[in-house]
Amino acid sequence: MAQSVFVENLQKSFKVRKKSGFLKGLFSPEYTTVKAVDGVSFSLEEGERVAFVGPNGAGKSTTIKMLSGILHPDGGHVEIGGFVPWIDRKSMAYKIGTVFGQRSQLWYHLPAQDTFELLSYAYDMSRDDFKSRIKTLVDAFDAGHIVSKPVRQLSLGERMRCEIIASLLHRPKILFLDEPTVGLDVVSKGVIRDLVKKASDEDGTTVLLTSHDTGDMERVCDRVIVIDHGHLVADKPVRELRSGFIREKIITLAMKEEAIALDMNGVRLIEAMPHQLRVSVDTSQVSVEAVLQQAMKLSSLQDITVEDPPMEDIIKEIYAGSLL
Amino acid sequence: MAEVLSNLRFFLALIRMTFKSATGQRGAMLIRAIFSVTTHLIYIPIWFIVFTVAPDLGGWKLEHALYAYGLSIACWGLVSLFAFGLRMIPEQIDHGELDSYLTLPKPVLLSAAFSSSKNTGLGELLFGICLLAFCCVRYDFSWVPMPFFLIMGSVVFASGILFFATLGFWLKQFLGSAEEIYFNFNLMASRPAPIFTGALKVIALTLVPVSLMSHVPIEFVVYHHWQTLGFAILGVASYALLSVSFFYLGLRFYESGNRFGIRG
Repeated sequence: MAQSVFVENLQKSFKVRKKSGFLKGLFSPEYTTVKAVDGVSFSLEEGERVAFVGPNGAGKSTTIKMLSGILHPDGGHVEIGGFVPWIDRKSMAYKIGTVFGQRSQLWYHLPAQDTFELLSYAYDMSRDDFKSRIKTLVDAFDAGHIVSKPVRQLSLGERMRCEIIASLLHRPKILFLDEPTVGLDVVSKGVIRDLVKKASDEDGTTVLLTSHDTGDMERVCDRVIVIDHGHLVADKPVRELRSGFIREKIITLAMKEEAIALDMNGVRLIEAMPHQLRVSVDTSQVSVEAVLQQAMKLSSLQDITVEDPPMEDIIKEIYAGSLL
Repeated sequence: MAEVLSNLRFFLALIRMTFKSATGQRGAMLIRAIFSVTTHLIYIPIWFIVFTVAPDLGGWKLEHALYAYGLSIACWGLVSLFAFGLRMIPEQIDHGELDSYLTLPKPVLLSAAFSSSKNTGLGELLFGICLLAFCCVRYDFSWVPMPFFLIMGSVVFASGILFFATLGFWLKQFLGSAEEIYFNFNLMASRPAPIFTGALKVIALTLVPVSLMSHVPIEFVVYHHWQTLGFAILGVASYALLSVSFFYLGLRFYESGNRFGIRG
């Protein structure tokens, strides 16, 4: 299979002004250099779906911005579909699609369908091609009722669906998604993950997805690259990471009873408060379903929350050497 | 050639979108237009008073001042109406708003400049054109070069804005300062040429080439000096090229950012 993304020794630093007094800062400011990305190397095959994960400030967004031609790197070599982003930015743009969860390409006061039309001119699509493509995407994303509403009236989840339609309009070979599920509720996250996976399956699109949500990588990607402090710390198939760390789930139970004891293999108590219990479940030893059934036997449950462990915890474990 | 046509199609689609977005609030647009006309009308009596006291300012008479004023206001209005994004470049840089333009296969500057419109621009454009028309009727100036001067002046003004806005790649939170510079740029263009002497004249023909925007056109209207006009056109093209090159140099230093926001 051909290489779709090739990154070698990528580097990027930012100059940050040091804190100082008002007058000193005005006349003699001092700067410090922060290495946001420090020698990152990896490659992606065509059609691969890879999660690029790490905690806040790890360098994920900076890397994806260099790969999509937004930022100029300080050093290293990158090829995206055969193009060097900062040299062949315009030619490369026909081959890539981008979604930035923290920023929109949609026009705030206008319906999303107007932005789609503008983008069709940006990508030199014929009118017939645009009409048939938009129909396909709107049907696939079940977005018929939202694309005609002004963007300002859309929920975050609806807006994100429109963002992904916009990014797929010109049939990109590579899709860069930067925190596409940030700020979304659980249901919307699920919808977005399914849609990205489906679109990639159908068109063979390579996906590089940044996130600090382990759910994104579990449900969308086959491989995960973990980055922290600008360094690559792991590059593994998701199943290996899952068997190593994502096997843990955090369950929070709210119940009528003041306290219950969940003595089961693979269940570890994190926090016990009156009418509330927080436990960690090792899914390789016991299923979440079995834990919940046991909890229901022992108490009258009022609320249940099941969460993935925070990315920070996974990084800590990786640093501890268990995975490498 | 194919690329030029493709960019032109995108440009026209972008202008359509910008106007569709701006005219979404028709009431606000009309009110702002009316107020901007009123604001500029206040200045007219001042010119009448000045030229009643001193009827000849180094060869400039009332009609020349009115023509220069009309031209500078119309150019300001044209740029605000069609390319307000140029004025907002420092803010777009600070907020990382160039990201989505950089991922499109079209020139970044096209999207950055023409993605927003300011509704006062309509009033300024109409006021400026009315004043120019008044000069043509009342003082028998030729109508023919007027559209050309409007385009030439707008290119000078847009290039000036772009040049100074580009400093935003290096100087953060620069929008306030940039707005002051744009305002003074336009103010200088609407003032009689004879007040610019010595070093000021050099500046008015080079770094802040307001002379190309209003003074040279007026000289042409009065004296029909084709050679001066020719040099002015060359100057305008060079200044535009310099500003665009400066912007793309600055773009290399763009740092993006993670501010939550939305375009439009």
